[in-house]
Amino acid sequence: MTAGRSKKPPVRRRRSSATRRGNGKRRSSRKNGTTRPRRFTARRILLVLAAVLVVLLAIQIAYLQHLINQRFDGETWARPSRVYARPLELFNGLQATPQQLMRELELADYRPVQRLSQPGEFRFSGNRLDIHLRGFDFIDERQPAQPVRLRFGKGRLLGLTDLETGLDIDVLRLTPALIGSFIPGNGEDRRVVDFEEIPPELIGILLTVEDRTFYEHHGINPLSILRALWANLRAGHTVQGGSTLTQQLAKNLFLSSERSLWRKANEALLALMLELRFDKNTLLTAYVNEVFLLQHKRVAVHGFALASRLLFKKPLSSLDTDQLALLVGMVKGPGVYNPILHPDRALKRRNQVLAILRTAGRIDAERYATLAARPLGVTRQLPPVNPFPAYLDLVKKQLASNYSARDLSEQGLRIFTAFDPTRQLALEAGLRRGLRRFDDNEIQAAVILADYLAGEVLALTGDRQTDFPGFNRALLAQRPIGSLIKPMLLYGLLQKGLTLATVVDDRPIRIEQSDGKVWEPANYDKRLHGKMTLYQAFIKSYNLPFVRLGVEQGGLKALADNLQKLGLLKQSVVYPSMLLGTTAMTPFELAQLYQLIANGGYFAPLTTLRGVVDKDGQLLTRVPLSSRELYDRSGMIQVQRAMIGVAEEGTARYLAQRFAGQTLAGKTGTTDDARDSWFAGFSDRLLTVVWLGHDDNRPVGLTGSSGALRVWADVMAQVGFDPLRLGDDPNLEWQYVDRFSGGLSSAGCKDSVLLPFRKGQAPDYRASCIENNLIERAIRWLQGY
Amino acid sequence: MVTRLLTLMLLSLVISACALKPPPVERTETYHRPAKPAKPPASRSAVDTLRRKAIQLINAERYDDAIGYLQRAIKIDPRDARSWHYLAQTYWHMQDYPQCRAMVRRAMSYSQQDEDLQKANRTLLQQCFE
Repeated sequence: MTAGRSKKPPVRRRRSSATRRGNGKRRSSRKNGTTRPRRFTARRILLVLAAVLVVLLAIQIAYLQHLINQRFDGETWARPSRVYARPLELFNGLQATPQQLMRELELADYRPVQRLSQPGEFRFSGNRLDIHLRGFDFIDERQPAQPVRLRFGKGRLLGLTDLETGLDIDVLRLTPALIGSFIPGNGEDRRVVDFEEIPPELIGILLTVEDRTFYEHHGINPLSILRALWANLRAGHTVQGGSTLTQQLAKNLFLSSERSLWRKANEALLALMLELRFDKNTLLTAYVNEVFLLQHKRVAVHGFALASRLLFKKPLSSLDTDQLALLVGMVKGPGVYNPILHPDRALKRRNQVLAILRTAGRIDAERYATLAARPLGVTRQLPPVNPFPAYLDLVKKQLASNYSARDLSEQGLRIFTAFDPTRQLALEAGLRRGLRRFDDNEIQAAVILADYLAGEVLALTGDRQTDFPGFNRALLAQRPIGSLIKPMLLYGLLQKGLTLATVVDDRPIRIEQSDGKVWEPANYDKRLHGKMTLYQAFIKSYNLPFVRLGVEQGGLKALADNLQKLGLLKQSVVYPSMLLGTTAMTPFELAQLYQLIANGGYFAPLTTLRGVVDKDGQLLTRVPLSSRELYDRSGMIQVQRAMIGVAEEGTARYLAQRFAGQTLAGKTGTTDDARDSWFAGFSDRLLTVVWLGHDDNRPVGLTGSSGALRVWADVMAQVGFDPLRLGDDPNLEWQYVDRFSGGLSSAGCKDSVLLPFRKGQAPDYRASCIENNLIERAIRWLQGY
Repeated sequence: MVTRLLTLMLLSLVISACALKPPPVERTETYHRPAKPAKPPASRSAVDTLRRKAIQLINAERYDDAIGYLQRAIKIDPRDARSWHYLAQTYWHMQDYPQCRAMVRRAMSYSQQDEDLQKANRTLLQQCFE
């Protein structure tokens, strides 16, 4: 390049030569009179104009080229990331009914049929459920499409058979439901397909209807334009378009839909440029992916593939001629021919397309008659755009550290989660039922359901209206937790050497604070209850003994230290009022705290995520099982035992009535003036946290017992659970003790209770068996125990 | 007289009824005790199948894939001590010792009834520290 430039004549010399020519011309014009310069000026103006036009055209071409480059270099389309529910593992003995599985199948876009013929279908008959599973790329491997038979009995799955080979299958994953997408800011959603994935029949119909000479022209078709012009002139208004498919693509990709000559010119120019740069198949593929077909609430559905999924619950490759004809017909007017909103118009348009196909010889008269007689066959209602907004919020939040919002909305990631759609729907039904108990329609709610052993969030709602995508209270509402702090306080006290049988005194206490003010806490019932064991004080949720122990036995410091370990200590100064749960937490943070308790001290960060793969199937993230022994297991088992007491005979004894014989553990929580009503409880694997309250923090008028606990029970009744199996530890021994005096007792005595103790810490004195002491019993009866 | 006697008898019956002990409170003690070892869960064969596949993958030094299978097994039955054990073993092969220790401790908490597995866990835990 440098050498080339150096060979050019020096600039100075060229300039001097031009000057000479210029001088000559001036001389000559003077010589020949005045007419020549005028003619020359006119020509010159024309030349200048032409030059200006050429320059402008060049600039416009460069600009359009830039648009094309911008669009086609790299990713052509923003591909929304897809979020999948957990795949249901099917195996012999799985507790499930055919109805539950059919619901799962419907959520995963499977269709009920009379006879299985292709993937994505299922058939139920008697106790058998035949499913033609779709092929699916999981995080770790591809599961091929295969027809299987499931046999049921007594509420369980009794057998799985491969219908092709007749062999039994040990374990199999059901295709997970797509539970949401991260749509880009422009609101466009699409499923991008490659040319090979486009059914030839769709191409045939599309070209017959929209552009028959697509493979012959170079972007524009002058004959077609003239024909359209003539038709429009005759009609006096626009009745026919002359645009080729490439022009339509150019318009869809780069231009607005205004009707102007300038736009038309640009469209033609762009079409020519697109044809110069790309081959026909690439352009056709772009069209199939780009074309706008449907407005679904705030989401614009682009491309045939997504429209097919939404309208027919089928992939494009499974559509029949009439269904493809409908989709192609919708191109002309996505709003006008929306088959959900305007089925009659859509049917008419589909049959118009079928008639065009008949005229063009693509189908014969008989086939036309058959197809035209068919109903539209579209789903009655489009699936909600974002049916589980609260859960998706949490997914997004947990992805945020590794993926930008742009990655999520444009990179076409596939995000695999632990979301359990069956339990989510049950949770929602339970919450609805629970909230109907109260007259107050403004009570807000947040519910979190987690598998505390695996550390996974299974279901979630952050609003009483579960599909409302607004403020997510489960993640954002910071509320005081009240007595829900007591299990952690109890744990701290047990670590300090106290036992569940330690006798505590429920009497008034005054605490002078650093600012000189005096704090005089009280029990919720404003009464005093005398001496009792720590266990008894815990299950009744008495405040005074816990405040006293917190201040006098170092419970407050232990509590602060334990919360800090979890990152849940939010204030730098520790106040005694923390002992009564003035610490504010979100329901999600609280669920994390209780995960640790329910899991016997093993900390597993609650996650929604299992893994992320890119659009080509490459694994980007796999969320490992995480489990850290953060707290002492034997201490946590003692806490769990006390929490069983709460559910059995304490403030949550409603559970013992409602779920008789089924062990559960939990804790109620109420804050000042009953502004917040909490319940957190767990069964064998499931942890559920419920919060009720008002957004403006005015009293809700419900205690943990009368509010959240009832909703919790309604939710769990819907979700279903196995009773809690309390763990054991070699460091623990179990003894009957008297719940008031804390002395050793026996199974038959009235106030005896079997409690765990660290070896060597059990009481060493005997209590009188209250069964024989009528006077003391009468006093206790009068006291209301 | 008879009326008085009857009245007195009725009164004494009422008084004696009041003095009677109330019916004993029915108590269920099952929840008070630690759970007995449960019978094998229904998911046993599925978990065994996944674990077997994982062991094959560990032997083939395909540790990432093995983790995938073991995690599936654990998600089906989180109390399956053997799956936790093999997960710990996989992390040991991958020289991820903190994860190895965490997993083997979890395996230990679920394998108290299985002496052989407890022994294997103790050995593995020692190796995770070395």
